[in-house]
Formats: sequence, structure tokens, C-alpha cells
Amino acid sequence: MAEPAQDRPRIGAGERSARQILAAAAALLIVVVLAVHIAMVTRPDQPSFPLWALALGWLAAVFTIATGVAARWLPDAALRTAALIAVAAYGLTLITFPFAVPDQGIDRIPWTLTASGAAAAAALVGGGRRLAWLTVLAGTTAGFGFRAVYGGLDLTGVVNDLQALLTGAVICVIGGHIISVGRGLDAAAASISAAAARESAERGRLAARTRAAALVHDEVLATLNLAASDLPIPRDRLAEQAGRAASALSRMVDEQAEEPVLLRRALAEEARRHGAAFAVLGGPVTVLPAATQEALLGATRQALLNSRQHAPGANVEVTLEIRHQEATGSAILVRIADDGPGFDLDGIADDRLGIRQSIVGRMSRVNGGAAEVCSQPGGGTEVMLRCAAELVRVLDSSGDRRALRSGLGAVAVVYVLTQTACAVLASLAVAGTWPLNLAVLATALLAAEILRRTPSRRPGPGRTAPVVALVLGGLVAGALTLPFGYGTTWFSVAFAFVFVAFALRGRIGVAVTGGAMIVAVLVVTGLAAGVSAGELVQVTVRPVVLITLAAALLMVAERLHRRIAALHHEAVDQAERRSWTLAARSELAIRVAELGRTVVPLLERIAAGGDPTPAERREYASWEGELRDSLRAGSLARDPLVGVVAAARDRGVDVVLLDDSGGSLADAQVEPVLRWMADAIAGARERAVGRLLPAGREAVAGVTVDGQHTEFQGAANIVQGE
Amino acid sequence: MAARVAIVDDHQLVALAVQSVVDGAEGLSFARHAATVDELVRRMRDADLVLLDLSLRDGSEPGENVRRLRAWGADVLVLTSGEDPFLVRSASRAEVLGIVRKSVPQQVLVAAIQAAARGELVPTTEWASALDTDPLLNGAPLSAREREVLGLYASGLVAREVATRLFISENTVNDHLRRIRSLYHRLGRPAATKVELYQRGIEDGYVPAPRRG
Repeated sequence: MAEPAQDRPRIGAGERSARQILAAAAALLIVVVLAVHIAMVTRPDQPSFPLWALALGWLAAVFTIATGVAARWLPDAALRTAALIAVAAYGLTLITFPFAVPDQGIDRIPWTLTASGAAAAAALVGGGRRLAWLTVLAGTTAGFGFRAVYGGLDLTGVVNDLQALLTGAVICVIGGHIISVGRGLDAAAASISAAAARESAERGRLAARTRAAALVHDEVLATLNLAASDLPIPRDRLAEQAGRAASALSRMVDEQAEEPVLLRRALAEEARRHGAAFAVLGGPVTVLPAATQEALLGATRQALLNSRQHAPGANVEVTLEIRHQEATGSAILVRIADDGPGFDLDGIADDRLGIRQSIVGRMSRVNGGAAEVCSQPGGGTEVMLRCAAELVRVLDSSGDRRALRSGLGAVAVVYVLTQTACAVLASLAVAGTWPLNLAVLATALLAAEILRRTPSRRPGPGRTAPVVALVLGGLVAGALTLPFGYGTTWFSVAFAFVFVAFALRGRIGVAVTGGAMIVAVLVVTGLAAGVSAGELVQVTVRPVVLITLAAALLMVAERLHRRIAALHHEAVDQAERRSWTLAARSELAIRVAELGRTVVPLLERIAAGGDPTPAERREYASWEGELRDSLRAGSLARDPLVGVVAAARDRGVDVVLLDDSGGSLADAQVEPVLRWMADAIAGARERAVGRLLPAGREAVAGVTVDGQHTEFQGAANIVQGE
Repeated sequence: MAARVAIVDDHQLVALAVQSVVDGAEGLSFARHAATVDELVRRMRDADLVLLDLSLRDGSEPGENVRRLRAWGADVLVLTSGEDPFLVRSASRAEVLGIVRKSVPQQVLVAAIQAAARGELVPTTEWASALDTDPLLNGAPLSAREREVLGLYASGLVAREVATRLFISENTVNDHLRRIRSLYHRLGRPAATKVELYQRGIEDGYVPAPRRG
């Protein structure tokens, strides 16, 4: 069980950790409830409940705590089962309560019975949002019912149950949101990972093809060309070169299938080679398209060379920055700066300035690429390179927004209803206080409404100040004018809830400070009113728990989500590299197998030395042409044309095939062209050029055989053919 | 006086082959072989014409190589093994006399080098095809006749054959080709900021390439 990650691959790291946090929160809530219960509320003169009922209550409590403590090490299925058992134990306690009531009756039901917050958190872990809401409602309903039957249906009892309902609702919404964000992160990572792997494989194949083509171009074409020519070339030197080319081809899979080099690493290496400092600012960059990366590296190299040449001994620094911009997409910036003497840009003619040509020209060929050279005499030189970073992935999940909104809506309704009920009950309980209670209620609702209407997600100081002033003013006024007690000071929770809303909107600091101020006001006014320490704790505990719980949950969840996102990022990078390497290797293996069948035997024959016969020369020329076609002939490199062209080359005809169509022709359009072109080239004696024309010309293809040019009237011929 | 010809190529054997071609041709003398442009221009100019390999393995860019050789004071004829149109265009935008494939028959290669040594333009199928497909040229002020000449050239005809086909003189064809080359060369200059932006837009697919009527 050391690695729970491998136990259930179906559940992602994000969702699992969200559940662990909630299990721990449930345990913490139970500890608080138990502490308050034992220290303050237990009265020795109460008739005692039967042993089985006490055991059941303790079982629910202890099981919840144990689950929370062990959550980190439990596999997901076990964690959910344990949480469900804890919820079931709480439910059982509610259901069996009537049977547990002693015969002589009780004064009032224990307040712990309706403290459903912990059970709600456990229900989120084990079941989900629905079970959690059900648990909270069951606790509240049972509370009211049992109070009516067995006693305790007074202001303190009802206010307690209503505030427990509010606490439970807050837990349901925040907890549900945390799980949904975790799940969203997992889903985003999975889909990004799959897409990244596909993309990366494609780029890996492309890179492999490019490498193979470059090798063929550099070594094989040159060798075959020389072998085919009748120029006086030293045979032993040619044999040597052919041997080198053959072995380079057979070693291609092992040597060319490199892992993609991250831009960061490549730039660091380039800077090191030129003795420049290197720094990175900003987020992660995965692999860039080869052409873009080469342009960036080449331009950087040129700028570094320039610095070394014109500012010897200056300090040079290379900085890589990744800028995320939502509107324009992300950009990669590379800055090469030296503190050398600088120069006057205007003093140098445009076409004389190597820097302009090789740096600006290079960058202008890549997507979103640009370069800028800034220098002035005495002010050093700075080169800025810029290109679009298409492949920066930002893993983000805001969870199920709709569920969060409807959850918050439900909490708002619960808030208004419970606090209004509390105000009404408090007015009824203490005669003559209704205007005061009403005013306090109105203040709390007004503060909450102002906050709700704040347009930005994080309320700024302009909104925060009046809301906090309202809350503290209302609290102080209420605490000074209304009698101090658990029921009569119901509004401490009403005001505390406003700070929960601050926490939900990302102002955790405001929430915690506000909570501390509420406690301070309550303690001072309580002490001034001369209430007992026990009663003081009773009144302050719920607002403190409410705010602390919300703030802590949100804070821990945010940190955790960041960690999970980083974890997923690594997984995505790994998937990318793996699939790149695999695809590149297999692509190269295919190319090597192909070349091994065709070109390598020829190269080995050349390497064996000896004078080639005229027939062999033509064979070399034919293969040289065919390899050239693989670079430039595009759709024309197909049967029946390939066979005819090979035969013509064997006869000593110089054949050039060019595909300039830019991929604008469908296979069905190319096929008649191939047959037509093959017929024309079959009769060639010296020179033949077959060409697919660019889109938009009158004809789709042309062929010139020994100076005779004809064009293929694509569409007409196809219509005739049908 | 014989024109001095140098070659810049990665492969020494290619240089050897070219040396034998040059030494055997009338009006040409072989000057020197260098593996990179750097190596060649480090010394005083000792060649009138440089045969430049299109894709050198030192990572240098063909256009930049051509400009440096021009700055050194030599004419440039580019030699290529295969025709990567992007590299061909990059070299063509600089001041080259022509782009010739290494695998053409020997007499064609000799004729091309001799023409280049006289400072004449060496238009080839590979050169014309790369230009004819460059979106940059689509927006350039070329006449219909010039486009026709370029298209025919890109399809494998030579000046004499183009002239016969269009019922014009060979000199007129060559005039057209010279104008296309110098226009293309002007377009390639970095000072043409607007054009370059336009070109970048087309290459990135942001600006639709204009169609020819």
C-alpha cells in the first residue's frame, strides 16, 4: 500500500487528494465538536443514555476521526467505504435516538445530534454532493422533530440547529467544489496528455524524416552522383566515401533517433558555449517545432557571435522568457544583451549588416517570429527574438462552474431563511427586541448582498471596506444592545458567514482577519456583560469554526491543486517525450529498412572499389534521381510513372519530376496525369521534365520531353474519361 | 584571361570532380576549394566565380552565404544535389547568377559555369520552378508575358524553346528572365519591410495568396 497511486488507476490524483482533504476536515470537525461537548455542555445531572447508544455515537465519532487520520494511506475504495460507514453510523444514531431516550425523559436533546457538518464532509467523500445534502437535511429535520417530542425546542436549540444547517450547507458546497476541481484537473490532464502524445509523435516522425532526408541528401546523393559521373575521381577515395555513407545509413536508427531537446536546455548549452550567462523567466515550455527551435537557436548563436566579435570581453546574458497572454496566445522571448561599447545602427547600411540579415531574416520565417536589434554607442547591444509558443500547455480546471453556482445559490437561500428565522425567533423570545434584531438582520443581508453583487471575482479594497465596516458595525451594535447568549447572539454566525463569502472569492486574508475581529468583539462584549467562560466559548465557537473551516479548506485545496497540476504537467511532458522517441525510432527504422533494400547494396558495391561499367553508372544515376524525387516529386513519385522514369534514367535520360501543386490535387486528379506523363516520358531520349503546376493555372500539369512541351488539361480530360 | 573559379562544398570529392571539369574547360581555371564560406573569404579574393553548395552542413543559410560571397567580390553560381525550394528561393533572393543541379550532364554543367564566368545569367528549371511557386512573386508587378516565360522555364524548356513557342526572339526571353531575376532580388532585400510582412503573412497562412486571373 506504499503507492496508493497504482491501486486504482481509474481515479486521478486530483480527485483522490480532494477526498483526502475532506476526510481530514471531517475528522477535525468531530474533534472540535467533542472538545466543546466534553468541556462545556456535559451536565452531570442529566439522566444517562443506555450504553449501546453512547457506544454508537462514539463509534461514529471515532470512525470519522480514524478515517481522516488514515486518509493519506488508504486506497481510494477503502477511504470511500470508511467514510460511508461513518455517515451510516451518524444516520443510525439519529434513527435509534427515540429508543435511546431514558424512560424518565430528558430536559433537552444533546446538541451534538444536529452537528451534521462532519457527517456531511464524510458523505461527500463516500458518496457525493447529494448524499451530503441529504445528511445535512436529515440532521436538521431530526433535530427539530426530536426537540418537539423530547424537549429543547427553545431559542438556543432552534438557533443551534439552524446554524448547524448553514454550516452543513457551506461544507456541502465548498467540499463539492473541491472534489469537482480535482476531477476536472484529472480530466484535463488526461485529454491534454493524449493530444500531446499524438502531436508529439507526429512531430517526432517529421523530425526523423527530416533527419533521414538530410543524411540521404548530404551523403548518399553526393556519392551516387559522383559514382555515376565519368569524371576522373580517385576510385579509392570514392570507395571510402561510399563506405562512410553506407555505415551512416545503417547506424541511423541509433544515432539520429534522439530525444527532443527542450528549448531551455538547448539555449543553456548555446550560452555556455559562448561564455554567456543564462536565465529563464516564466512557465514551462515543451518541445517546439523543429524549424522554430532551429531558427531561435540559430539567431541566438548569431547574436552571441556578434557580441563576441564586436564587444570582446563584455558580459553577455541570454534570457529566455515565456509570456502567457490570454488574448494573443503565449510568446517565447529570447533576449541576448551585452554591456559592450554598442554601435550606431543608422551608421551601417542595411545590406552590410550581418546581424540584420541572419537574425531578422531567420526569425521572420517562423510562426509569429520577429527580431529586433537595439544598440547605441556606449549603451551596449540588445537583441530581442520573439516567436509564438504554440505548445505551451496550461493545465487549468475551474471545476464544475454550474454546480458551484447552483450550490452557492442554495447556500444563499439557506442563509437568508435560517438567519431570518433566527431573527424572528430571537425577537419572539426577548420581548421588545424586534426592531434591533431586524436591524441587525438587515445589516448582515445588506453586507452579503453588496459582496454578491461585486462584479470581479476578487473584491477590491473599494468593496471590501464598506462590507467589513457594515459587518463590524452591525456586530458591535447587536452585541451591545441585545442580551448576550447562544440564542440571542445568533447574528455572530450571520456576520461570520459574510467572511466565508470573502474566502470563497479568494480573499482568505480578509476572511481570517474578519473572523479574528468577530471573536474580539464577542469576547469584549461578553466579558463586559459578565457571562461565564463556558457561555463565551459556546457563542464564539461556531463563527470561528465556520470561517476557519472555509478558509483552511480553500487554502489547502488551492495548494494541492497547484501541486497536482505540476504533477500532471510532468506526466504530459513524459508522455510527449516517450511518444516522440518511439515514433521517431520507428519512422527511422522504416526508412533504414527501405534504404537497406535499395541504396545500401549499391553503396557497398561502390565501396568495394573497382571501375563501374557504363550500365552500373546508369544504375547509380537512376537511383540518384529516385532519391531526388523523394525530396521534390511529391505526388508524382507513384506508379506507373516511377517505373517509366526509372527505365528512362537507365537509358541515360536526365529526368526531373517537380510537384509544385502544393497539395492542391486529389489522388483521383493525379492518376490520369501519371498515366499521361508516363506515356510522354517513355519516348524521351535525352531530357525530360514532368511538373505538377501550381493551383490556379490553366493546366494542372506539364511535361517537356527533348524540348517538346505539352500541357495536361486536367478537368477536361477527366470529364472525357468518364 | 581565364576566369578563376573556387568551390565551397562539404565534400572534398565533389570539389575534386568540379576541379577536373573546370581545368578541362576553355576559359576557366580552378582557384581553390573551401568547406565553408568563412574559410573561403578569410583570405584575399582569389576567385572571380564561386560555385556554392546550396546546403552546407555548418548550418549557414544560403542567402546569407551568397551575400557574403558577393561582398567578398565574387559572382556566385549555386550547385545543389536535391532541390529544396525554400533554400533555392533563399539563394535566389540574393544575387546569384543561377542554381544548377550537380547531376546534370557534364556538358551542361560546363556550359553553365562558363556562362556564369562571363557574368551571364544561368536560368535553370530548378531556379524557375522555385520562383514560380513562391507566393511572394504572386503579388509582384510581373507582366503576363513574364509570368508565361517563367512558367515555361519552370516546366523544363530552355530559352531557345521558349522563344520558339511564344514567337519571340531568344534575346527577348533572356530580357524577361533578367527582369524577373532582378525583381525577385529586390523583393528579397530586407529593406522591403512591407513586402516582407506581406510575405510572412502569406507563409503563415494569415493572408490569402492572390490568385492569378
